[in-house]
Amino acid sequence: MAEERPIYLDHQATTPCDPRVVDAMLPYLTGEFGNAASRTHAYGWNAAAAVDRARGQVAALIGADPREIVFTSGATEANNLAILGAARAALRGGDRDIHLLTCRTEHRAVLDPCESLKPEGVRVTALDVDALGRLDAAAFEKALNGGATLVSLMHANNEIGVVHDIASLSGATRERGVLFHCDAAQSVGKLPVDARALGVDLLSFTAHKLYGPKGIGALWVRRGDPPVRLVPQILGGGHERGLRSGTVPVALVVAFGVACEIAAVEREDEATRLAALRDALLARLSSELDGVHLNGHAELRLPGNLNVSFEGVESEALLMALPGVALSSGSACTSARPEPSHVLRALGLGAARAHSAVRIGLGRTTTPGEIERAGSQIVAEVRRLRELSPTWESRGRVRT
Amino acid sequence: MRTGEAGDVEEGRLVRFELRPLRGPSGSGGGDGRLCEARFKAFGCAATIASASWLSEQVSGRPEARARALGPDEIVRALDLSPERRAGAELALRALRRALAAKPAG
Repeated sequence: MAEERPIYLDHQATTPCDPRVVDAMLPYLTGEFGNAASRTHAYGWNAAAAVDRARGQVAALIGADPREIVFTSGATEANNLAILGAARAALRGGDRDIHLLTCRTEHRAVLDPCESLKPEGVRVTALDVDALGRLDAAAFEKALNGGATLVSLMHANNEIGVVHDIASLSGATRERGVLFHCDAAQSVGKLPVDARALGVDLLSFTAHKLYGPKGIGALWVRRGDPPVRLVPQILGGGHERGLRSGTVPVALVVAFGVACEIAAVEREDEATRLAALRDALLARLSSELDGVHLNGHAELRLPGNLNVSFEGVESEALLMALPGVALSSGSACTSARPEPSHVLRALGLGAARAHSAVRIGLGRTTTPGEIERAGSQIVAEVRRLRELSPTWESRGRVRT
Repeated sequence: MRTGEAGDVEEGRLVRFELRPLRGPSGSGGGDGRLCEARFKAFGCAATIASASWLSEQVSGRPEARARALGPDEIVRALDLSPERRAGAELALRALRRALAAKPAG
């Protein structure tokens, strides 16, 4: 008998490739292997046609013009191109006081490029969030009044799933002529995302979070007035309108296109299904266990995301005790002094709660039966680890 | 009963040992010959909990001289811990040593 694989509940880390996506990309790994930049034969023409079709599918998912899509290796590269590219364009334009405005709960793929610009004389401000992970609109506007070149805010957070109201924040940046980049890696394909309706200028997303393959993503660069100026970060053959040189990976692009097309059709029903499963799981965990705390806002969050602290149980120990369920935690216990993630710290959670936080990410392949089984295993292991826990013992086991 | 504790929740690891005297065939006397039963409570990563658990097995019902001689390398070897997990083993050992050194109470 084949060994049963763990129940996969880590869909914020990555998603499995949809079989329909795999079917669509396979011919471009075999017979249709042409380079989309080859203009002199049918191999190249077929590849170029496939890339064009995919560019249209990708653009359609976010309500964009296909000419606004720049294919990259993923959201990290798209974030780097947006942030480094916009800041360096401003530097070249003679701007002496470049200020990047971002948030403490951003992904490292945003925070690190911002940090890297400091030696180039760029100022960086990372705004705080409240205890539920929300950004304060008034504080945001106040920071903008101090002058800003580029704002970079994520749409949905990868750990706590909290969704920022980008459309309500972007009004203030447009009035002031400030560029707005949005890292939408977690939200495209999960939430309705219309790049223009969000009011941003640059938007990053990636295939592997929406049931496509790893290694392909996109930066949406708004066309029109005022123009968005970017300095390319990878130079070479001038691919992707000069913004991202490098042979376009045709099979991956085709896969990304089909993944986006499927998401456009199935997103809404899937979001409803996942939110119901997620809420049922949280209700069960909370009814069978004491000391269960949801981290991040309960409603303003991705449909498939939970981030839960089980009092008295260190998160990594719980993950190790659950070989049948694939989950993740916000802290790595591999240092002399394990630190909870920067996101959990930004919420201002107490140490006990931050060290106990587990991320549960549901997705397209998640079934009610899996949620049932995962729930049973989590409840059993939390109880077992609490038997060993000095902090749970001192807290007492009586429901208050 | 003697108790010892190391770490704190702030740092993500806390281990507590309790040593209770055992009345055994050869071990009711004092000093390093005496036998005890070790119980532990641990909050921390799997390596921390496993280290505390392994130590409690090593100590229970064995001469205390042996418990005092245990070092972090033995834990790391016995549990095949990677080097970056050593901190959990050291913490568990610190809690045990504090219990061994503690004055009996309760």
